Amino acid sequence: MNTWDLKQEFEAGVFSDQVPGGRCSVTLHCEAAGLKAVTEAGQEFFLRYDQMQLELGGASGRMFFCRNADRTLTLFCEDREFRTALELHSSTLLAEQLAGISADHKSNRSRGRSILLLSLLALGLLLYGGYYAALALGRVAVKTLPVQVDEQIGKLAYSQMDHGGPEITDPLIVDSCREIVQQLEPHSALQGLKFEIKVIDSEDVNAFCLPGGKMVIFTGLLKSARTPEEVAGVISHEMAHATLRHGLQTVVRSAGVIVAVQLMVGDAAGLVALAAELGQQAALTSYSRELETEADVEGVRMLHAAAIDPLALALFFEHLKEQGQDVPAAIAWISTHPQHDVRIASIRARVADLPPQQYRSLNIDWDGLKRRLQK
Amino acid sequence: MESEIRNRPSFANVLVKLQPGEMITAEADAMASMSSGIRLVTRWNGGMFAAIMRRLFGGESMFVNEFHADTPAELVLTQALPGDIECMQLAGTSLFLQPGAFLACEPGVRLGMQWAGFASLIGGEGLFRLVVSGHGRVWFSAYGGIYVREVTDEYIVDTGHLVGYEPTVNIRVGLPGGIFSSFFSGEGLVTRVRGPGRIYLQSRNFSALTAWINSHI
Repeated sequence: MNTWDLKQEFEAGVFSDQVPGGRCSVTLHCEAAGLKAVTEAGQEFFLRYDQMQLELGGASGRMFFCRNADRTLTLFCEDREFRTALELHSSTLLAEQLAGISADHKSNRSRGRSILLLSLLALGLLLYGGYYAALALGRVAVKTLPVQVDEQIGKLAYSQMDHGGPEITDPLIVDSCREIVQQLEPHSALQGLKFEIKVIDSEDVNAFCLPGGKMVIFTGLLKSARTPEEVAGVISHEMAHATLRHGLQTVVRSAGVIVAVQLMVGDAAGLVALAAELGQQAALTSYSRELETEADVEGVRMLHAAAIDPLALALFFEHLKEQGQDVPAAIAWISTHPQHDVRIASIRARVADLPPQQYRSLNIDWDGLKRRLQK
Repeated sequence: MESEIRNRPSFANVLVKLQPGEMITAEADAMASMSSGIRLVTRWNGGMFAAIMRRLFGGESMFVNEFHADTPAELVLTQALPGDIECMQLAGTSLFLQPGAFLACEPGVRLGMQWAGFASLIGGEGLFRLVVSGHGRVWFSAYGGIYVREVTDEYIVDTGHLVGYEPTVNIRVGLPGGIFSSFFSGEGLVTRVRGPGRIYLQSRNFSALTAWINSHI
């Protein structure tokens, strides 16, 4: 490139005591011996290349500062073509300084990128660590809460929710479900929880247990099950959600540790209402995959301890899969999750690892219950 | 156009006297009072896209108001926060303003938006900065008093105190000391300003005030 191909004039600025305010805008001309700056008022400044000190800076980091030796005159320009013009017009006089600036600029950019990358990495680690620390704190916070908190949330959630159908009061049906719960209750991981059973007339193949032990079983579930042990399998899974306090854990995860702390220290009606809503939402939709797996494990343990065949849980899931039926919403991810088969296999594997146990049949008039359900 | 900054520094406001044919552009909601003869025209703050960008990343309004005088009239402009207002005369020069600082300008002044970098974001000042350039007066406001520093080398400013600076000034975010003293001194991150150039600072930090209020409610 020749000097006559280059841009000769640049919009620039000057720092000098000789202009009002100490600075003003100038038009910069690259001449053979140096830079000529002309202010809008016509005032001229000249800075020779052989006396020029260069520096890169400014808000953009790409601004050239050209100074004289005693720094009484500084010309600055940010035009992208200014560097090339300076290089060509100054011949070799500024070559060393320009090379040094380029090296510094590259080094700064490289350092900047490294810092940015490290900052992003640190931020990622902080968020990742923070998330798991919050989960761990949530678990600890939930364990310190009295069971009455679960009961309060469950009670409020139950009173606010649409149950999806009328309540069934047929003693044969209700007592059969209660019998299953009574078999499992002594083996619950959380003592002091009182389970209350409601059977709702609904075709939904569903059951859920709210925090505190309020349990709802839909007739659709009883109709779909082939044996009372299959019903017991689902009930054990749902009871496990309550005994492991998954509802409250979900509340804490959703609303933060502060909610748990405030629930502990104060009677905050608003917070309880919020918790009830979150608890209800958690029980009716689905828990996280981690909590579902925990409920599977705990359900199998409870069934085994109560001498009810735990394989029935896996068999019921398989049956639903074969039938292509809707599964309980609370365990919905079983059918929809791509690792459905893995989960069933996991339950089967867990059952196989259990110590030998003499399983007993449940003392339920299963045929009578089925007949009543047909009416 | 005559102007006077009154009630300084705590409750500053700008009294503008417009002659027929004169106009001033001001931030939306900046008008406190005006003569009934003034015509108010609201427009996008530099085009729709730029206005949205300013709103999202610059902390400025999407719209600006133009106050046109057909007869001699007066207008009082003010800001939401208690604090001072400064006027700067641009003579083909530019000035960067931190989000929310712009108050008003004369017709020869252009408003633009420029990438400020991740350092600015980490410093709590957003990814973009407002740049005013051209010819004419520009008024900007601050929380608390405004003081000016002529920076020749390096100067350290606590984040949240910088209101505006010239384009010749380089801004970096860093720690005021070692890691321990930086975190336990309460200073946290600071802005390292490198001249030459002029910086405008506010004597109070609004983020610090909100943090203080939050800790008491």
